[in-house]
Amino acid sequence: MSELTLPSVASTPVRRAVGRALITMAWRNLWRVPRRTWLTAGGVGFAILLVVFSRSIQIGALDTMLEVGTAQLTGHAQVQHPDYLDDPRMRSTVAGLAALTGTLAGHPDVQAVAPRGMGFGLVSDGSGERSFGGQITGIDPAVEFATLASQALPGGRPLERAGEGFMGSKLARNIGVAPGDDIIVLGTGKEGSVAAMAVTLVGLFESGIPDLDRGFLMVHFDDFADAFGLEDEAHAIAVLTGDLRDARAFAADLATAILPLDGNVAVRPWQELMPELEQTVVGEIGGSALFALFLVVIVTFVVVSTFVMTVFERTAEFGMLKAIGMAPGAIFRMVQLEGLWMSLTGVALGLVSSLVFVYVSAIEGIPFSAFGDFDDMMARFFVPDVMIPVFDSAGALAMTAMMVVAVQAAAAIPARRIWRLNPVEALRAEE
Amino acid sequence: MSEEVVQCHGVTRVYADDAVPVHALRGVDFAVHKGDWVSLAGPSGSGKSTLLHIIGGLDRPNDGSVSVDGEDLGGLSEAQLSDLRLRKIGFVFQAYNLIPVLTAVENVEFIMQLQGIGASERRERALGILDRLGLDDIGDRRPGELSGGQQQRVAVARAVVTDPVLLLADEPSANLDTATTKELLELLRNINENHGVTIVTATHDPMVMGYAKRPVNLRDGAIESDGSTADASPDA
Repeated sequence: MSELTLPSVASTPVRRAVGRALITMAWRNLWRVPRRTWLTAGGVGFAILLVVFSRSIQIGALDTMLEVGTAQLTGHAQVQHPDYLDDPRMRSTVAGLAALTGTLAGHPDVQAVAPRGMGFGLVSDGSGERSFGGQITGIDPAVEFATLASQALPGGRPLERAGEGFMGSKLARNIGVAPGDDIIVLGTGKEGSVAAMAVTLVGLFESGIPDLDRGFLMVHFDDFADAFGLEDEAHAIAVLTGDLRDARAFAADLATAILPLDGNVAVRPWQELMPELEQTVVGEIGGSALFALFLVVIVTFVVVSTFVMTVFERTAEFGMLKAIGMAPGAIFRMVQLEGLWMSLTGVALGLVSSLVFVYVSAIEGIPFSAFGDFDDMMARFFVPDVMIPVFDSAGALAMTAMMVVAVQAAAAIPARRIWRLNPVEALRAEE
Repeated sequence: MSEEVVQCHGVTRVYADDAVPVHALRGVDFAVHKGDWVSLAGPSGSGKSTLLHIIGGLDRPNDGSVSVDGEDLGGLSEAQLSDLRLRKIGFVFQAYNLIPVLTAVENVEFIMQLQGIGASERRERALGILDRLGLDDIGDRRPGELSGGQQQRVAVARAVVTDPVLLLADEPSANLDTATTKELLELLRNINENHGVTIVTATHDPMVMGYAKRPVNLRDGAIESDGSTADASPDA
């Protein structure tokens, strides 16, 4: 009895030839029922559009929020005494201020450097009759970038020189002062001595943040240093960089750069200065990831039902293919390729439409009023009127990968039947 | 005695899916010689299609042995059976069963693609056989654009383009009118007589039986009469 000596169908050139045939057949099979293909691929594309566009809006809004939140006061990072964040005492300063600011300003990634002195004191009107406690912050108006320091209410102006004061509107109302009035500040200096200064109020701000509006006074850094006994030192040096999302790496890089000058400093990225802001961002991103996952699951069910129909309708065809000698694995691969073509078509639809939506909406920006009546609040928080969506390339990549994997899995579920298919029974399905 | 392409010894097939077992084949002994054209005939349920499927390695007997071109099918795995069908057996089905998304020439090429034959040789052989079968003008059409007769002729082209040892045709004329059936049978006769392809058909159609060199009648799962014992010569 002779053995079968013909080459195996599993040999490499054969597999390659079959592979090419399968790719062509899979693409044509996809369009046997065009409406069903368009609906299913459209579902994939719509899910991608929903996720990518909504995340692009979200990223645009979060970027705006972060920029506003950090620019308002903290900056993208701060150089501080290592203990200052947890225990902000007057004596926890960074020394060698002039050398530090010079080094920081020379760093290629640094856009702005602003020293700050911070302490608590009693703020009184000129007569000393009405007093309220508040945070006293010394700034250098020539280099200060905090938006809070530059937005004066009508009737006043921001701080410009020594001998001036700039305070929250509620604090001014509480102690009964207005721009042009003298105010007195009393506190405790770095070495425990009495800190006292008299400045002229030149303007008021209204941030919309109650704690700031009723308890925040800005004075010139030189006045602050004189009154509180700081000598070439500050409580914080705020810095700005190009991309606040890289603040952690930026802070680490700065720490390395300034270490030789003073080992007793810490560089805090905004995430450490305002952990609640970072948690908000993480929560928002997590919520959108769950939304994306939910959509992927729904689309997967749609694709499963599509492929159940496909495999069921083509039972006789698969039986014929098995009968003429096509390996079940090759038929399975063909169905998987149909799934791949399907998902790639959907991905193309989704990505192109997302790009168009993001591009068009970024031309004019999306007004925050589209999300509700937030105009007043936005203005008080120095938030721009419109938000510019930022194309979420990472989200697009993740969604593409998830959709491709999900569609392959969805196609594989009904296609497993191909292995169990009896060619004779399958061929009878058409008779 | 000429070489035996198919040998069946004591082939028994029982379908036990239902409450009452169905004996489709009852110990059939049967052989097909090279160059033969055997027509398996008989009423519905006689076992002709079952025998055809077992010879083609699409079904397995409960008992007995079958060999094709000297290869004992009982000793082959499903993958080896699939390989055997691909290399040695051509199939023609009642419902044509062409691949609907491929053109006629691509359908003919496909089986060679599975065999790993190179693209240029594939195309040359596919066009050649379509030309010989008078189908050269429909090579670029898909099955949906062809008549039933044209589809079945393309199916025959697909089945014989790789020079199989055996051509199995299950009710090949069932969906064709008389004129088209005659055309098909002339085609099969040409293939059988001029190219030496061994053919086994399962059919109800007297016209097909008339063309076959050797009519074999089955009834109740057993061979009732075998034309090989007589001098059967087609007289169509």
